Amino acid sequence: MRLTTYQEIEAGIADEGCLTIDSTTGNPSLQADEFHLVKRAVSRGLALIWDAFWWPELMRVERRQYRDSYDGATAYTAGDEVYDVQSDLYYVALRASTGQAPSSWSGGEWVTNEAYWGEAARAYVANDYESTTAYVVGDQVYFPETGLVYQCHTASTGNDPTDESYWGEMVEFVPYVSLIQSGFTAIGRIKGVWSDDPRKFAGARPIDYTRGTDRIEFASPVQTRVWIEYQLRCPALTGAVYSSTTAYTAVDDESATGSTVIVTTDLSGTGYRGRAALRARTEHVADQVAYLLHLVTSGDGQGGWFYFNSTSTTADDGVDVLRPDDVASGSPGRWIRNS
Amino acid sequence: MASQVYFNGDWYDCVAATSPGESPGTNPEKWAKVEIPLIFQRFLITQGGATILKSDGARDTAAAASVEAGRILDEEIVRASKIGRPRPMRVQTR
Repeated sequence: MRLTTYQEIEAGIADEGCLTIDSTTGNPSLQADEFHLVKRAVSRGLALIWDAFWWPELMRVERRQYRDSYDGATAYTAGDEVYDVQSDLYYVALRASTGQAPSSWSGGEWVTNEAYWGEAARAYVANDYESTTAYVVGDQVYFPETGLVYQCHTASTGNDPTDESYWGEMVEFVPYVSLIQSGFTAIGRIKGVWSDDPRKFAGARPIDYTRGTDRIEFASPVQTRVWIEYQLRCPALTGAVYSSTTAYTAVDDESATGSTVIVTTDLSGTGYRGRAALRARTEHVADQVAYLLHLVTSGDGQGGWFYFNSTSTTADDGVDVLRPDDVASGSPGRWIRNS
Repeated sequence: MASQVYFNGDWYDCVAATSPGESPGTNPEKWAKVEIPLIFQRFLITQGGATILKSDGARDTAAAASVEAGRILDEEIVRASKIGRPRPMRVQTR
């Protein structure tokens, strides 16, 4: 994919007469708030054009599986679900283990390691548990008291299926593809899900799916892996100029822990008219949100939602970060634009 | 601290924790450049300019720029439509 640079775009905006030009360097000469205005303007434009079409440069077609592949170095616990590459099946962990592969090749077929794993399915059918029966590894029973099916991982007689020393719960398997999978590109907008690579096989069948908040779900029986045709995620420009005195952290936007957002602004019409009004607000609690109708003047298009970060000491830039008037410059607490 | 920075004309996402001074220039393995497709450049310049003009109060000029940005977008869509996704080949056999 051929790329441009943000600097080229900034220079182009300056050439349009929208920015001040430094007469010495010929480059855009931006104050701090102008820098953030340009950043937001470009970020908004990017969002607009990104979703306007299925741009070929931004499309990917990849085969995806429903769970991470089994890894011999991972410590699994009861209930963990894995995909076994060699047998092309999914398994549920019955108990804690490391280095116990879900299957092995024996007698011309893949045999499940039933002392540690159960072959996953959408639903299970088994006879009712009986306390007098001598169960062996691999036996499955239905326990009416819980309404669940269990598999015996250690030979047992008279031990209820809820006894984890002998039984593991057979978790009903829900086939879904997470939008963020370890080792794979994050999935943006989805164009389609296919039985085969649609670029190579004219007979590739479309597969019905439901898009959840963070995953793609399949209601009907599907194959063990599917081909997903999707668009890369649109980047948002939210940062600041690099500082050599700052230590930065990698943030996974999907894994960041969230907290309940308490809406305290009256949504029926009391947004803040300008950044000065929001700065003047004396009520500010962690994760509160407030709506800015405009940044400076009515109709400037720079309004939006802000949330209160009670630990931030980021400098007030007048656009994306606002320090309340009653918070000292060195003290924590800032209104942060929520993009 | 924020995980995205502006450095030497481009934006970078932090992909691995850095110590002070570990910039995209000195430690590129810890940063991923935010990629902006070249085909978006004209639209971003024009639409970005429109947004800035609007914030400066130049509404009429901003509106005209937005219209031009829309025309550019339509032009790029038409161009991209002719590319599309590779289609599977149909092999003729005797």
